[in-house]
Amino acid sequence: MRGIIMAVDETNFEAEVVASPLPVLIDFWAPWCGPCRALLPTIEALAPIYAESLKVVTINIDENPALKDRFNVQSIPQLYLTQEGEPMARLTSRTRTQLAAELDDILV
Amino acid sequence: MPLRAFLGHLSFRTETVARVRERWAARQAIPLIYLKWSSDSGFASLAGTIAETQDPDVFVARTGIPLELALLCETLINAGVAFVDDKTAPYGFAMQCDDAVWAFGTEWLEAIAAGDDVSDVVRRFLPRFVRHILSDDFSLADHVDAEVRAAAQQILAIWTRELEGEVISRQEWRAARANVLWASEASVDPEGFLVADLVESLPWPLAGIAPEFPAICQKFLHAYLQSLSAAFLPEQDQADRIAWLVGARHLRHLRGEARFADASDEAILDQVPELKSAMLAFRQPDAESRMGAARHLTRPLATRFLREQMDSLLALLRERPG
Repeated sequence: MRGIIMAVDETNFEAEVVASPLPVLIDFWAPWCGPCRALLPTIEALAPIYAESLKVVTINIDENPALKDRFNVQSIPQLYLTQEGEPMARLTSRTRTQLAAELDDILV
Repeated sequence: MPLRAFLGHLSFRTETVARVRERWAARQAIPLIYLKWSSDSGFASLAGTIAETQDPDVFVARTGIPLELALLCETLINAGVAFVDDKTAPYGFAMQCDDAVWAFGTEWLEAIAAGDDVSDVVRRFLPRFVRHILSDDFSLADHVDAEVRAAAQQILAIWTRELEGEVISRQEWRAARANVLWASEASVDPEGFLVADLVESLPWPLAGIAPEFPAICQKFLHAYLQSLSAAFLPEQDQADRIAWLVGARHLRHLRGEARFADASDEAILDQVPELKSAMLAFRQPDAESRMGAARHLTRPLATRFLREQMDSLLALLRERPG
């Protein structure tokens, strides 16, 4: 399950996010962030459910400040659904049930 | 996937349990809510100490124990520990905890025999845990809205059929999720919000929700132990806490509104001053200090609740298949 989620950085962002044929869910996080760690199993659980319609990646904001600035990330965890690298929606839910409902609304 | 605890080797089990017991007794392993290991003398969690890794896949390969079981046990202990600043301690903090809670750090490991398949223990624990929360014995029983209770019962009924081997259709799960979201949204008693939030996290197949359960449980325990402590707070703090619970729900709704699409929580609060004051009153340093004192007074109640969950897990671990 963990293998489905890719860690993206400033070197592979273009290839993995901008060029992705599928919409990409980006989880902005940092290793020191407790709520980010708490959210990770939820994201890991969602990834296989939406494997055919969505790519899921994580971005460590400490190591990728340019991507943090590009998405104007003010706090973490922060979830952005993107298409060709542009934000489609910021997902604000934090339970798998709510996130699935949010994604279902957007991806119909 | 079936697993063989300690890879089926008695000598490996003996060595592992002895090594963990020694570090745990010396408080050199810390009950965290995630897997943490350091090969030098740095920080290590209990699960990290067991497998000497912080790679989840390596943990399972080395121990034959599902990571969610180790993390759930560690999460229950973590909830019962007060981390107190102490400059003389090796990591800058001391861990204060009842012996009954700390003892669980090795009890659960010792309850597993070499070769046991404990891959379904968290799956079987989940319905027990939810039934406990829905029981009349649960201290917040009167605060759980009827709709939330009914939605939880629906999930339990589906899980029961699942455990009996029935394949549940996606449509049925989707209907259960829609129902639970509606019930959670409709809940009105702030003291019951934490149960609504818990139930809202659960309407998924057991195999899928088990790996996520330690994180769900941690969030619930944090909120529940705080609610136990609330009874020991002065009246104004209790009122501030209720306003904070209501405010947190309001903030959750605002985050989803189009006008706040790109706004941080701080930016939202700046635009809704009455919400900001409700959210901040309960977070003032002196209020937090009173909450800390109340938490200390509540420790016997917290220990009892945590110990009940630990004993429930131990009973499942000691049930030998066949």
